[in-house]
Amino acid sequence: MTLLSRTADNLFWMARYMERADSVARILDAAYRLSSLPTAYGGLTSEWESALATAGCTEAFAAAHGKATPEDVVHFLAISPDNPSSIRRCLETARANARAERTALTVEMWEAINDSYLTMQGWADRGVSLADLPRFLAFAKEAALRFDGSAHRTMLRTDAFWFTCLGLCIERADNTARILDVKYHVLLPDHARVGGGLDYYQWASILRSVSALTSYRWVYRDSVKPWLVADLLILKEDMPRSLAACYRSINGYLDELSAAYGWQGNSQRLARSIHMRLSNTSIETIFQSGLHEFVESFLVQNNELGAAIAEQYLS
Amino acid sequence: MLLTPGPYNSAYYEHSFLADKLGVELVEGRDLFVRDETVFMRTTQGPKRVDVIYSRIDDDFLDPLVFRPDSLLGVPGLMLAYRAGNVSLANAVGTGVADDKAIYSYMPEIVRFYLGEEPILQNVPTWRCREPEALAYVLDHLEELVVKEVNGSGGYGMLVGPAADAETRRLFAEKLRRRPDNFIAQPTLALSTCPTFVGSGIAPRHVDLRPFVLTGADKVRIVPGGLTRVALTEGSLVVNSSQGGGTKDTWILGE
Repeated sequence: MTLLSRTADNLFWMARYMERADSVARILDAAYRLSSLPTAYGGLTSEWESALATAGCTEAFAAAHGKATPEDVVHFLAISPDNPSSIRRCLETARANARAERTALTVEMWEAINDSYLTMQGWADRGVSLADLPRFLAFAKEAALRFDGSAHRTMLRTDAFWFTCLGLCIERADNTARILDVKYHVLLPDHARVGGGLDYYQWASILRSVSALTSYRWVYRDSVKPWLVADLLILKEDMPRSLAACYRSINGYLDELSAAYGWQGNSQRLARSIHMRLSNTSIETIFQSGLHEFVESFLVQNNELGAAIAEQYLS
Repeated sequence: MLLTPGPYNSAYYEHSFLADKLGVELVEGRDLFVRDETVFMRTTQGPKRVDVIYSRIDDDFLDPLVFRPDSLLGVPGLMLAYRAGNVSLANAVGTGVADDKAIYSYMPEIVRFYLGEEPILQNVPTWRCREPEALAYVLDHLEELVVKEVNGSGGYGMLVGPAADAETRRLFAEKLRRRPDNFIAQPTLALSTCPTFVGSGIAPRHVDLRPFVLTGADKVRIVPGGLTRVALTEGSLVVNSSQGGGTKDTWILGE
């Protein structure tokens, strides 16, 4: 059956918003853990500002609240109705996109999204205090797991599924790159020489924000080293949130689309070149030419791919 | 395909349900465009020609170039393609006249004229307010009648006499006198009630049944089932989904 461009667009953004809700939950989780460390480690109050930066909300927050207190940041990122990237608004937008495409969704997917939306309304009414935060974040992460699981377990493997997965992977790549963008300074080799307990917690926190603390040990069998953290997040294809893994998946889904439709375009070319760039480099090369510059240019390219997909299929 | 006003319409669930069961696309106006007097839909594989549209958009909103220019729900140029014979519309533009509530009052005569038979089902007595005698009767008996706009739907713009207070009836009487041709009146029917799960437990709520009749080339079939609508507000007789009415399962127990 033919897939309407609008339907594909809604599925793509539904998945992006579900993934974003999950990302913001992980960012908040990491900030909460770091901020719970004894103040003797110093400098950790800035974790809340760094959470805002990673979520891309620094300016919007400053306009609404001014100084970043833990309570305000939690409110802003978790349940603020005025912040389009708050977990609440992400779940609401994902659900609005899903509701417009009920016929393209399986019952399980719709229920996963709708249940999360309904539970979210309860949280929005009650508010989320610092003490509630772990429980709230567990809910938000489970919402994404359930969505993901229902999509993979129940959706027909056709273009509707591939567009859903594309939205998820592009959002995920964006999020991992943003974490690197905000935290790159603690991963630089200069910084490593300074060393100290704080750094260990910072690196572990980055790993935790992409659910990779255990994976790290499996892959490297080594203590946490900043360049290996960067290697894992950027280049390791077997780490599902790495940029390389996202692009391997993106290429796969775009190939499915071009095979099904019998033609390919700019999206396929762009995705292949980004993936090639990730495959043909090493973490040493990236550090030599500048980690920050690498991440910045990746973010631009990732956005360009989103625009190319919209141009080629979704409008 | 099925053309819907979109997810903010109260009947959207019905539209999506139908499209799903029929296996046709559920499109909104913005999914379609007209080029060379031909309708296309925007798909992930490029424009695809459209031959038949089952429209659930009011005529007024169907084509901003012909009807309401402020409509964002319609498809600019759709009527051009329709007149060129390049697309079929069901329901055709203008068939809404059959929905006019004054037409209903002529049904017995229509049956006699076309079939030469007496109608099997009796009409609910209906006063056409544009007739002076009927208007006088209606104004005299407002507290026992239901008064509806002839082009109304969704339970809007109507007066349920027995449920309204004196002030509401007085204001409605003014409207009636200003434009009597716009209204019909009927006795208030005692709708059946059905046990309904409400916030505080199980309570009676009014229901009505909408049967479905299919007319084909050879015969007329009555579908064994129908749409049972329920007014969820206590005491209300308005079952329309656009005003918060719900639906119930319909059970057919025998012939």
